Amino acid sequence: MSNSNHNDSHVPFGWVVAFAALSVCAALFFLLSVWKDYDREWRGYQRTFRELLVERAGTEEERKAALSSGDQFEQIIVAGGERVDRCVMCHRGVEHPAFKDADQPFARHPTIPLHPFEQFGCTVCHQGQGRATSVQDAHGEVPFWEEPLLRGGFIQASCGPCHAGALKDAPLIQRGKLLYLMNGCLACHKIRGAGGVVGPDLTFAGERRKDPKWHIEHFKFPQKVSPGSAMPAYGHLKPEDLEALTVYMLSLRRAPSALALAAPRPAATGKK
Amino acid sequence: MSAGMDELTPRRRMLLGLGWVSFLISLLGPVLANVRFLFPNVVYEGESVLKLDALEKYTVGSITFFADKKIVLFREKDGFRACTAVCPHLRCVITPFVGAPGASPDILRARCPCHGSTFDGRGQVLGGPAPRGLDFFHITKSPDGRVVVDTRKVVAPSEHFKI
Repeated sequence: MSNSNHNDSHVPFGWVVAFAALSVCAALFFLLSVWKDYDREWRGYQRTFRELLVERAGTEEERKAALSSGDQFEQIIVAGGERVDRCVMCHRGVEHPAFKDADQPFARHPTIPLHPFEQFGCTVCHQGQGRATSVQDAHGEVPFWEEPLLRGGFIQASCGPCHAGALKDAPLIQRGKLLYLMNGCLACHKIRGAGGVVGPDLTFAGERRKDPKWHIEHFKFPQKVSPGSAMPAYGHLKPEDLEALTVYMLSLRRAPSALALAAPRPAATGKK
Repeated sequence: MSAGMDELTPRRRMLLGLGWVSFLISLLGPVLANVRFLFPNVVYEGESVLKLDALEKYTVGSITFFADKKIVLFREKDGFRACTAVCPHLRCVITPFVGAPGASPDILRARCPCHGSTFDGRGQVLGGPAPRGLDFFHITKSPDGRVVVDTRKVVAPSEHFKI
């Protein structure tokens, strides 16, 4: 024992300092990584929502339930995992009647008949990056994510792929279609076999470019975003007309495969 | 030796202690973090908390069969009950329960199409290869007034969710 102490003390003091400093650094880096993993943006939103929930609680029971709920991961799995939407981790009030007049991110979502959230999720209509859990990433307004959140009237484009007919709640598609015909786009572009061959086929234009900003920019200055394009500029159109045209372009895509429910396997139903 | 004891000053002792404690944190911490890694935040095996329609959509005496969610919802005089529609034998989906509306659970019958296990309205096995009865799940109400079935919590078949 005394011998080891003796040896111990023969280690130069500088080495002891270096050992302590390096170990402390390693431990701090580890603790920092744990903290960075824990301290996520969504926890802040969930905390705020809990506070609002406590404020708006009608009964003592509701208040207690709100207080006792902790931070939780939540996701909507659409069509067996084709899409996974975690929007509800921050947008906590989407189905809560007490948040009818709340501001984003806690506003209640209007109920759309036949489109339950647990079946459709969010990104099928709103676009964005469903799996992301930070605001920027989730809204898809980051490089290399092709489907940014559709804001304002652009959301109407999402009705198009499934609802081919005129929709009362999505008038911009219809207006865009009309503008498409009135401005003679048909002369160069083809949609579902009808139209010219000078420009690209637009049957699935909304699948190739999903960012409304790109379309607006393209209508104003085609060569700026698509060098060498022979398309004339349509910057003379009114901004709302450009928006309608963009909505129409975005609506030109196939129905999301996430919504085509998988047929139950024979073993699950007992039928051949 | 006496010189050695002198050198083990409190400062040296403190630095060594700090060094070893930090060293252990930086070793054990990642081990624990790897254990934590075995318990993911989310899984993709389908949702375990199932949201159904509004409470009042289900009339007293009705039995609703959810083929996609693989559960059965009983609306009885005393409240709601929900059980799995998956046969505990080899996980086939059972047929909907048959019986007159409002009939006692004892005379309701559901069968598994695969090997013929028969269950009554309390989930009990009446025949066939099923090794145990159907699980019944905990029910709550969502803030917007819908039935929520939590398939993670198994309850007694007689337990009702009262409105």
